[in-house]
Amino acid sequence: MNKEFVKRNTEAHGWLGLIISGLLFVVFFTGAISFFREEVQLWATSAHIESISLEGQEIIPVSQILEIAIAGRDFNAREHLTIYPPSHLEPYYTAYVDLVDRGGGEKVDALLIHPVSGDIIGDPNDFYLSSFLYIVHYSLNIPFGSYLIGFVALFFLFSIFSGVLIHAADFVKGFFRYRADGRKRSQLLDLHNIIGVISLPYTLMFAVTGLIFNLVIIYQIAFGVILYKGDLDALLTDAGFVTVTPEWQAEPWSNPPVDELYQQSIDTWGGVPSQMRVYNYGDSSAVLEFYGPVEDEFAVQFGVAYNVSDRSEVFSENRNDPNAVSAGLDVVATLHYGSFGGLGLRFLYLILAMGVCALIVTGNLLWVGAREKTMSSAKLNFVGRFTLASTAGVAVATIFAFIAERLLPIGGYDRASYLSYAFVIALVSASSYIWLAADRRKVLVRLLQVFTGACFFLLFVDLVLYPSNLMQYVKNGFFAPVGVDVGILVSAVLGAYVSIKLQGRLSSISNKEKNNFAPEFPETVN
Amino acid sequence: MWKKTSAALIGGCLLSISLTLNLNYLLPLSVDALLMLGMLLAFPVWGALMVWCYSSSDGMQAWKRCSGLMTLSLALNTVLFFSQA
Repeated sequence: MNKEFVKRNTEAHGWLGLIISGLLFVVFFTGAISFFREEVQLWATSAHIESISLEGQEIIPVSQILEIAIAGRDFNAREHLTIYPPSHLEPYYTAYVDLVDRGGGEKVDALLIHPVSGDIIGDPNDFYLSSFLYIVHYSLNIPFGSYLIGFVALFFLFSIFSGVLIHAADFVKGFFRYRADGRKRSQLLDLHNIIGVISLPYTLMFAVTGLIFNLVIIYQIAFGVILYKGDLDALLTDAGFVTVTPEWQAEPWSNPPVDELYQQSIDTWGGVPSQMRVYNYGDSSAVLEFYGPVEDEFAVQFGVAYNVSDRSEVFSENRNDPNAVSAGLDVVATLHYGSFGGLGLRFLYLILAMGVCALIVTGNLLWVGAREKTMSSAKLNFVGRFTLASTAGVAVATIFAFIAERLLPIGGYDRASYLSYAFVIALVSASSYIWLAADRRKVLVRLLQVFTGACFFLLFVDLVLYPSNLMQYVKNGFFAPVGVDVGILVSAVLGAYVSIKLQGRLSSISNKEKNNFAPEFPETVN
Repeated sequence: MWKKTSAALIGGCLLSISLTLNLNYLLPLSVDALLMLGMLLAFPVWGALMVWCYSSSDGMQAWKRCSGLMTLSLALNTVLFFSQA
């Protein structure tokens, strides 16, 4: 490879990698937790909603659930009524009821419904942690955030391509190289390269699939304008997107076969729908729409809609000749979410995501190390503190969001917003400490200690306040809440181990400096 | 670096659109398969063009590279567009 080519790409790889490092860390850190989004959601609800045992119990049919959901509400039948049936990770019905707009804008009531008794047991919006972390992952929870994250993914893709080209000459020979006895810079470089190479298929997949999710609109508009001469609806139709818009007839429906159509979709597609939606509920023009995974097939989703009046199909995914775009996007989504290989695969994805987080940190440290002799200490100091804030600061903010999810009382206020505030306040506090602290080397140790302490505090709260809740979930076969607590314990132990190791190293460095410098010279650390 | 970045982002984006449109015109596949292929290839093509831009000696060379290839691709786009009209 031409030396100038490698040199220029190394410079671009370093600078662009540094610029996107903070946001990329947030994406991978929150993304790693989001692989277990449903488990975290069940952990959150376990403290406030009693465990449900479905063994030997008759589950209420969906037709009754629809009636329970809208009873006593200002339901807008011309809009949607959406139901998520119980699953092995969400043992209750979840319903979203569109309300009539009385001037205050669109409103939706969200309900958790007991699948056996039909009681309304909670509001899913009260348990916002898993959704919050997922939304931060793809859009930072800010306006136009998804486009910003899209461009972060684009520069990440460039970093992958350029990284491979930079490392190409050593790809095979240096595959297992780790110079444990080498200089710190050599060790960091080897670590960066090993993680980069081993995680290459994973990072390539995530960069491309993430870009498709967040920035495909660029090509959608370009293709729509040039190929379809501005007819974006035609583009969406060719891409397999179907919009259900039944016309309100103002005639009440008669004996709607809701449960029969629900069973029909299961019989046709071999899987329980993950989502059911009703349009024009109660009217003769009502349409029932079902979506869900096809059992025993890789990355295949089904979508079907029936006219309630005569059971005819409004649309159905064609199994023999599926639309390439909708089938392709199902594959993209399945690969990205890791939903094709069970719990083991998601753990592997989690470990690789943490590896990418280490890739980002080692990259920043390499960038600083390469410029120690050429760049001012103020600029290097800024980069060092920025790296700390966007990595350790984010980890601390995340565990405080978990604590807020556990401790905030339920009901009567916008609990979701207060959880977001807890995350932001913790992040700002950690960042302020990082920027104001005199000794930057001790900051990381302190943050790790805060993270570890917060993890142990959270476990203490669960063991003291909610042990019976958690045990009841386990007895009923729902292990996710305890599984999340085990994950928090592992994080606490790792945090404690690393902080103790770092503290020990700092102490030996301090002792060396004290022995090497005369007392009248102050230690010049920042 | 800023000029290279502008070439990589703007030039790269426009070039990737033009190149994938050419594939759309040339490949004998169904319309949905062409759309999916375009979606899959567009971003890696853009990423590769970014590498090409950043490996230029300066921003001017990066823009020259993008403009040169864009001229060729646009010419092919035009020929294919009118031949299929």
